[in-house]
Amino acid sequence: MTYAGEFIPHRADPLPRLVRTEQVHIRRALDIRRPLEPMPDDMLLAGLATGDPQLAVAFVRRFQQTVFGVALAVVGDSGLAEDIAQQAFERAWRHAAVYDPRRGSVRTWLTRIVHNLAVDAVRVRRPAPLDPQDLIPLLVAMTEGPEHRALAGETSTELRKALATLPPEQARAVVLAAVHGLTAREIAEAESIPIGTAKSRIRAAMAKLHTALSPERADHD
Amino acid sequence: MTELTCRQCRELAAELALGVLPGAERARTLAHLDHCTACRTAVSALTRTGEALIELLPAAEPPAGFEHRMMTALGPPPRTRHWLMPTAAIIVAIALAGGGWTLGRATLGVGPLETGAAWQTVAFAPLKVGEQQVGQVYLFPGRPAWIYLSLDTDRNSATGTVRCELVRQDGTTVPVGTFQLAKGYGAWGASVPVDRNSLATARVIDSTGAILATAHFAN
Ligand SMILES: [Zn+2]
Repeated sequence: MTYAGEFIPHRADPLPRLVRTEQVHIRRALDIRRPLEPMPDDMLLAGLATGDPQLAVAFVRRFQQTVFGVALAVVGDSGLAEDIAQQAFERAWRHAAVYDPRRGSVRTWLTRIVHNLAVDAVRVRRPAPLDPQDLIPLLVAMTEGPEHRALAGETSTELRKALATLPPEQARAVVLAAVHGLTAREIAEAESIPIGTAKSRIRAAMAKLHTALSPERADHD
Repeated sequence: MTELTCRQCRELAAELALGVLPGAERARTLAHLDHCTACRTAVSALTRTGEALIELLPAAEPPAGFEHRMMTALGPPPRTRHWLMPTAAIIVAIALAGGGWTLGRATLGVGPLETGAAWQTVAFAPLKVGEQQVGQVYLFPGRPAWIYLSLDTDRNSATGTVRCELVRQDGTTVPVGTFQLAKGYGAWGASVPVDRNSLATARVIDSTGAILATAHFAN
């Protein structure tokens, strides 16, 4: 198994000559300026762990719209969303060394970080119970959003379709739980329904979305 | 506290996966997952579904000046961590530098925060022609282990396919693959069926069978 293509992302560049010093500081090594844009996400994250400001800027630029978008969708306030986005990048920066590519892409990992922070923030400060009708614009954005933001191609299309075809009350329940971090009891209060109904709506919605994502989707029916 | 059945566990699995299951139910569900692989698998799948759902959220442009404020907040780089990087960080440093630096023997932490003191050592040896250093070879621990090497022979005529071969301490040789040299320069990585303790030498051989450069690993 050869990795050459992964390890040397910029072979087309003019090659720097070897610096034959016994121990050159990594930061000096990184000071050899290279275009960072084509660098794979996980390499950029690994570079972030070295503390190189150039890599940090490239990392922030690449992911800031995703990170801010998640924060804004959950907290609904631009100022608070910015605070949360900032905390998320700081956390990613501190924990870059423990990112495990086997558990998902860098984008998924970052999304998880910022989402957890945002949900924690609204749990503390949520001003008033959410009105489920306010979810409509968000649901529209999630089902019609631009393809390149999300999961690779087909997978995300399937999930969007599945979300769009859920009965509206199930779609609201799953978004309130998954995006806004509401418990079944909170959803029951917001929708004025019994808690058991809220629980079964979450469960039914998640089962359908999961099926839409599974490659081994049943052919029958 | 009574033990949940698989059926009861599955009823709560979605809420658990989404992180919205309150304390007591959560504790009972986790207790069940502790010994039920099937339910654990189901919860993992639903967790991935929840994450995929979050990834459908629309991206949004942060307020003006965000990037600048962000960089100020990140502050000076964490200098103390330079030698405590994950393997991938070493790779990126090597890739960026185009083989332009030597690491010596650096100690790396492989996910120290998650796995405890899983310290591992990268082995390094200079690639030489006679007494002149023309490159370097790194052997990274892992399953499988892998090597990364770069060389710059200063010979513009050295262009084309070369192969890398490892020699174990018992004298057996292990071919590990081929890569391209362009005007004397090449860099390459591959997984290898040889561990640190048995590796003696790495060498680069050209298409005529002549040894271009050799690296001896100290033991
Ligand atoms: Zn079970």
